[in-house]
Amino acid sequence: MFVVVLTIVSLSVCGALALIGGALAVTLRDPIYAVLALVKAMLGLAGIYFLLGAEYVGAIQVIVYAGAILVTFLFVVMLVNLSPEDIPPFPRGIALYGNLILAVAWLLLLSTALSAILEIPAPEQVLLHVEPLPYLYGTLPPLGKALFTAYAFPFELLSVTLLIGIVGASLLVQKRPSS
Amino acid sequence: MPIVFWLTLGGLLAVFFTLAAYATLAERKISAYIQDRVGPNRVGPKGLLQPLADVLKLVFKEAFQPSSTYRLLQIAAPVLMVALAMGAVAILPLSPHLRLFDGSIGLLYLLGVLSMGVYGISLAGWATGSKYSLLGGLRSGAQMISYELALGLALLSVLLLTSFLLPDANPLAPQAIVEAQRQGWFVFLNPIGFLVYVVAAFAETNRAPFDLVEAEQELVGGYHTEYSAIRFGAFFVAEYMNMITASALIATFFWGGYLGPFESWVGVSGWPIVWQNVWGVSWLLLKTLFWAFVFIWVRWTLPRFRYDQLMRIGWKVLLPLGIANLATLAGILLLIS
Amino acid sequence: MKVELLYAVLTLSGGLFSLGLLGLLLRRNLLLAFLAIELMLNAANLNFLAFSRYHNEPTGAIFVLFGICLAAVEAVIGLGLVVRLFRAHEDLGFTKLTALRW
Repeated sequence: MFVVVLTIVSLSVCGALALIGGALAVTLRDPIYAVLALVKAMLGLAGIYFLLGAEYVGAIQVIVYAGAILVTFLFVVMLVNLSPEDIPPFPRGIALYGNLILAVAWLLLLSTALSAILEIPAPEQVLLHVEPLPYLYGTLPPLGKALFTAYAFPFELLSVTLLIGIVGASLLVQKRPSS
Repeated sequence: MPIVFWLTLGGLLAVFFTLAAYATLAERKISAYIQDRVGPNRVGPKGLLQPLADVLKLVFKEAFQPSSTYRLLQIAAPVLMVALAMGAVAILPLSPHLRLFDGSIGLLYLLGVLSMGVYGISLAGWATGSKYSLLGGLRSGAQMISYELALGLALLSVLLLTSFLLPDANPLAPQAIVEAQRQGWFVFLNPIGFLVYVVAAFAETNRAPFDLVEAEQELVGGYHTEYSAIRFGAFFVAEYMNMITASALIATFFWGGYLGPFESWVGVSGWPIVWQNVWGVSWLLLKTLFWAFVFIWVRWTLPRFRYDQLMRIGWKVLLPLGIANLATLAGILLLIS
Repeated sequence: MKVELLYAVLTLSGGLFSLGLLGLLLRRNLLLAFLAIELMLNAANLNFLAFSRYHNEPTGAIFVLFGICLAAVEAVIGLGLVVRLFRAHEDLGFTKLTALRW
């Protein structure tokens, strides 16, 4: 019982971290603070991944998302020297309210779809609980086996995509001799 | 939690702090001898109390804070640096029976802590609003991300060897890496991986010849130009903590960690557990001290690279070398098995 | 208790996605709009992982790994475009990037 309570409390803390971080990331005027808020949201999400038993994915979330992708964002903010004065304020009037209504409608749509999903009877073994799983789906060995057997082709495609990313980025920011 | 855990934690932190403090003295002494000077010798016998005097001086200095809109980040950056420097040391296995960290993700924890370290330096560079600091922060961001790749590739070759030598163990656990080296230290089995790892570790700790982040001839003090008093002291201590951690990690991943030479010949495994622990900790400490000495030695011997040279080494030398080493190693292991 | 946990995680993911969508619609700066997109990607990842746990299948976790990789590629290309655009126009605001508007 204690473990269950602990899991629920930690899930709520991590969820709150993620939600508050996300909310700050889309509202803060200062780009540096917005990026840092998103880092906070990523760390909260990584915590949730850990609590869901996906330890490897949680670690990758910290290393790649918080440690590399968002550092690149921070780097670009510093490079272009984006200060709060450069950020236009939120739109007022119809644009603001229209978008808010749209987002709320989207949330409602999502929750309707969610309740529809939950109508579906659960599979034989329902395993979203805190007891250790018989088959650790989130740790490295099963992931690695699946990655190099069933998903080998998409995995290789992904490496090509990464190569395209490297080449594309270095081509984009290359300083051409001015014509 | 068993009492052994807390004792180990306390002992590790005490030794770690002492080592970090005396690394500053060692740096000044060794640099003095390399340059044919005497070095600090006024405080205490042979200058042995110099770190204490330094700390007292830093505490009582004025903590100047430049006017900037990022006062919170200015304070948070050094705190983050010290916290992360302390966090990384938890992963070290101290002896066959002594370790703090026992998670299934093992090394990924280390990589996570290392990758968060970029934020400390970048934010310090940005928050103080000085051009020198900003340049230092930008340089550190690019440098640490670039060299993390080489570091990761070298670690992958270590993991490959570990899982080959100990197929049943979780190769991500640092304990398994050390135990696998009973059949031969990885510096002999995997010399190119060792080379890549050491160069990348120098770059990750921002030590010379890769200390572009705080190059004093170009950037005054780099990211900590605007810091003074104890906040500067935090950066200073964090740098030496990182150096000690990096030395201990090199010792653990490639130099056999807590294993001594001729371990089976001496018959250590038959000893009482306490003596096994003493033996393991002593060897780890000795290897760490040696590598800390190498860090200092290199700093006062080699000139600094230019920034374009740094990037070229990272992306065009270390990265291909790491990939080639990994592929060759995998091929050899495949042939053997 | 089991389904409730799934529901909680899915609600969180829906909330994060809506926040990201709102940010994308309301932010008038290219870089910050990118941040909102990252948030939406992560909300989707959370969904995958929740169902992966629910069905005890690694497929969802693998999809998340692929998603993180693709997010890295997307961020790299996108930020390259941002830097390029900034060099050309010295500004990243949507209101000022009107060269293609007629």
